[in-house]
Amino acid sequence: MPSPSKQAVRPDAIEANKHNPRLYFNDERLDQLRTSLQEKGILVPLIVYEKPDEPGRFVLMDGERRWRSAVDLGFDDVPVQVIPAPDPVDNLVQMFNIHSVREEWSLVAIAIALRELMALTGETRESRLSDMTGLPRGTVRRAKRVLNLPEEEIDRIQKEAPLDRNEQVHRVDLYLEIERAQSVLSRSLPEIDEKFSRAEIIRQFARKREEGSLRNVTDFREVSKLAEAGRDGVIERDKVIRAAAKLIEDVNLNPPEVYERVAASAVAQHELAKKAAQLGDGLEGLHGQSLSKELRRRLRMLREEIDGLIQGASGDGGA
Amino acid sequence: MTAELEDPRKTELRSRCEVAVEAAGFTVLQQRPLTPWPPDAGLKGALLGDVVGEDGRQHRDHYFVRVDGERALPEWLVSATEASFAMSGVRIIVVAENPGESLSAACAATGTGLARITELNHLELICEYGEPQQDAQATRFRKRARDVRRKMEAKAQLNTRKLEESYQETDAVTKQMAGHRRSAYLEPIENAIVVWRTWNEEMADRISEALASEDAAALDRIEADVLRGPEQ
Repeated sequence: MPSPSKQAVRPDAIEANKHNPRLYFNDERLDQLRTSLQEKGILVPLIVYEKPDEPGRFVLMDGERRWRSAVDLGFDDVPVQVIPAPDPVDNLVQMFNIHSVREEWSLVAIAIALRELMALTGETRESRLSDMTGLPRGTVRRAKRVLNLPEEEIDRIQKEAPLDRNEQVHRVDLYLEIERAQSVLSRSLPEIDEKFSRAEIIRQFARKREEGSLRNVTDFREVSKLAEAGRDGVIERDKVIRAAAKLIEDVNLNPPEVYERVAASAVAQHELAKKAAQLGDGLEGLHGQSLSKELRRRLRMLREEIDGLIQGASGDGGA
Repeated sequence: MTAELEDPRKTELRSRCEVAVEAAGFTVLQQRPLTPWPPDAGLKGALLGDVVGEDGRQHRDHYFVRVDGERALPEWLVSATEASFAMSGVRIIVVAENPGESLSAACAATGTGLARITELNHLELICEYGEPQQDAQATRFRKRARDVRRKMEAKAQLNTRKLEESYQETDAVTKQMAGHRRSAYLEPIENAIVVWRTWNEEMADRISEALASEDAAALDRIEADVLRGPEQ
């Protein structure tokens, strides 16, 4: 393999690598680099390869920020290290090695590059993809979950990925929460799938964020809890299906509020009933044994509490 | 000049600025010229700008659009303005939709022109371009701020480089490990890299703000924080 050669080329003879899924840089984030380059110049050469079909034109492998800044700072030329043109798989693998850590690719960028790698190699196993790219398996798994989202949602995430986190509406962590909630909803209440497509549910849930109906992206965890309460018969299944459908249809409804109204009390009582059964089992095993002072005191207090509760209770409110 | 990888908000602001400059009676130069810095400016590159407008006497206004008008003027633009005072027939004007106090104060203090672009794409001048009367104290303050920034950058670069090397080595020696065990080695290094990067960005912003407000006490605090480094 020929060794890389160093030279200087005009910035406009260089183009972005089409295998790099990064769309753009948040402009102000380049300020610090621009200050440094304006003072010292580019000390570490960009890594490029020459386009086989267009001699004199180069494609970036590494150094997008420096290149973008050099263009803005009016550099006549930039130092480059020219490497041989890689084949598409090599190109992608090298991009992963360069960018996933050093250049902080976002999860959506990793996902898009991973999709291309899977298409080129036919490889879909997490462990193999992790070996090829150097990404931890957890990252590969999360990236594959991002790829399961509808294409238009991936576009939304990708367009906002370079923005500061507080400026992003369509954040990847929002979609990971939505995807998990949708998946639990589908598994627990297949009737919901008959009424709404997966893409519809995801879109409607994302609209809650767009409309400002969420307090936090983790609000969707209450959707899973609601669906599981219906599946486990803690509350009437029809009631849960109606509540879930309303939650999907009305983008102004907040999941924790719906959960609180429909299921929270029943779920809490169900949990207490389970604990009461466990306590009963435990007490049964103590027959004929001497009880400690502490346990006797606790049990008396509990009996008073239980008597008061049963006398004051209006009846069976559970399913 | 290519605009690949450019922030789309900047691309849009650039086009609006072109419309505004033309509306003000200037010719927008489609081939933006690279005007060399004076040799003693000590700056790399050349005076360019996002939009360049020229009047009938071939005086050129170099407009630099800023997407976030709340942020202080970055040092590279301060240095560009300082160098431009020794050049004839050029002005530097920063353009933002809603220039904040910090940006306005920095432009006024450094002599950088500042214009607000209206919804109807007109430019309203907020600060005139022109060499400010700087006293010796202000000059010393700027030099000190620059030194603090250099120290901070050197510290961040050194630490990030070390971590990157450590990541490469760990990556190589853990290749055969199961995913979760491997992540246990790699993730702390990744997290540490992110901590240093974030610290670097935050410090750079704080230095720019201290510069804009000429706040010596703030610079003292920043210098102490630079010595301490980020909380890990």
